[in-house]
Amino acid sequence: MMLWFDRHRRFRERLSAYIDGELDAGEAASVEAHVAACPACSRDLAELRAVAAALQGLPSAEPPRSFALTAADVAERAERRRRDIAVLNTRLRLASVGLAVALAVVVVVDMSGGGGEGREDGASALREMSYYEAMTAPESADEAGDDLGAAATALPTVPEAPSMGISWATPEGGGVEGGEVPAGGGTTGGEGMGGVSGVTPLPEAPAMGGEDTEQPASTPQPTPTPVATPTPAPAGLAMQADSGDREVVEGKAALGAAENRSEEGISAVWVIEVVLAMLLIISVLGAVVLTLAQRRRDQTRR
Amino acid sequence: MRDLQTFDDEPDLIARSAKGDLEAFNVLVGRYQRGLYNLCLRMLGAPEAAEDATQEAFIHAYRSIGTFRGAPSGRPGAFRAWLYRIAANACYDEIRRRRSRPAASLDRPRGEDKVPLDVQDAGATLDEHIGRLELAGALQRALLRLSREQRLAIVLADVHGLDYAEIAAVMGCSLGTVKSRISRGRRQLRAMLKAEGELFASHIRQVGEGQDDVVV
Repeated sequence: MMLWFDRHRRFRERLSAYIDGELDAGEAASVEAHVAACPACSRDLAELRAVAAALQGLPSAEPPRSFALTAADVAERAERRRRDIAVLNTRLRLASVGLAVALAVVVVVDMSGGGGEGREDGASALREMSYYEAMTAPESADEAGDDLGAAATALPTVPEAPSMGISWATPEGGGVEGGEVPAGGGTTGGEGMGGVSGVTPLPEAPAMGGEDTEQPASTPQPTPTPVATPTPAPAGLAMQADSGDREVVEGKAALGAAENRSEEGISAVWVIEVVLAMLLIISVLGAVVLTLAQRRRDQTRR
Repeated sequence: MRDLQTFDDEPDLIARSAKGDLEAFNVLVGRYQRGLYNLCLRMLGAPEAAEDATQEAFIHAYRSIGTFRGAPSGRPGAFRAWLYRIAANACYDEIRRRRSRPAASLDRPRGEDKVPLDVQDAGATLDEHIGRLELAGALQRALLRLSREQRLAIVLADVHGLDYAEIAAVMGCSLGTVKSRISRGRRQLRAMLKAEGELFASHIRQVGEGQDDVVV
């Protein structure tokens, strides 16, 4: 029964194409055979043919006028198009200016309200030193804990972060933590160096382990780039200042980093900045493209 | 209406038009304007709208004729398909424009059908003539109630005699889409015409008696 319905439907679907002569010989023959035997489809075919015939019989209308073009017609259309492009160009330029202003405002608000750069340096400095603490032998764990505890308390206090970054570079700086940690790194220099060199490519590490822990040679340390991989762990470590359990800490590393960001409200503003920047780029590109197209068009005209 | 005629000078006219020869282009206009106008008329259902759309289409065609690459095999319908495609887009634009201005809508009350009819059938009796006019009116109204893609496919197939491959080229869709648009469109037209009553039923009878095959 189902099979019969399917076949039937397939034939029905092909009736129009059959009427228009668009079926190949084999298909056409099978449709004809079916129609001869099936009254329902036969009637269907007749009615569809009638619709096609009615359409073919529609009277043809004489055009009310000649549509031959004059030079004026063409020129007028060209002028209209140029005007439309110019309008669009102007709008894109205005939009670009508006977006640029909006973006500047958002960025300024973000920077002054958040102390952006210093904070990021401080955070990465924190990751740096906590990485080294984590790499050292367990006997320094308590020391690391103390250092990190002190450092962790430094984290929420944003205004101090820039000073922390600075103190890292010049050891006499305001932060107690800044002064302490390199010393801590220095005392465990031997093991620290061994641990470090065994784990990740950190070209500055030997300089750190040397006696001049406080020299500018250590200044590259705050840059987070060499420690791309281990940073999640130390960041988590920083947040769990009192727990010496590294597995738990690493597991919560990403979460810690995320909490870190959302607490300080970076992500929402950051998204707005990125969106505005992208829109600005698009509208500037659009205006540039239109302007170039317009220039080229004017040149070919002359 | 089967409006394809082949002219040997067409490639030459096209080439000259591309170089800016407006006179050469106007020769082409003279040949294709009736077909384009009728296409727009059936698509839009109103003479002024059809005039605007036809004018738009020809201007656009002249400005972009440099981009026309005729089929190298010399298939005669290539230029016509290209023109019809431009006209179809002009109709779509006109539809969209009028949708936003309801005062100039395309729905006309029955008594005011102003679609001009140029019936060239001297042998018809008055009754047949009137019957044909009424059917044409009903048919035009029914066409306007189809989706614009179905309407375009059916008008191209039945009013202009394009085959499915040409229609696919005009509409920029696949053969299968053309088939289904025509098939469904015809069925919908049939349903609408049946609702008109005896008018269509007698037409079916006439067609049934008349001949074997409507295919040209």
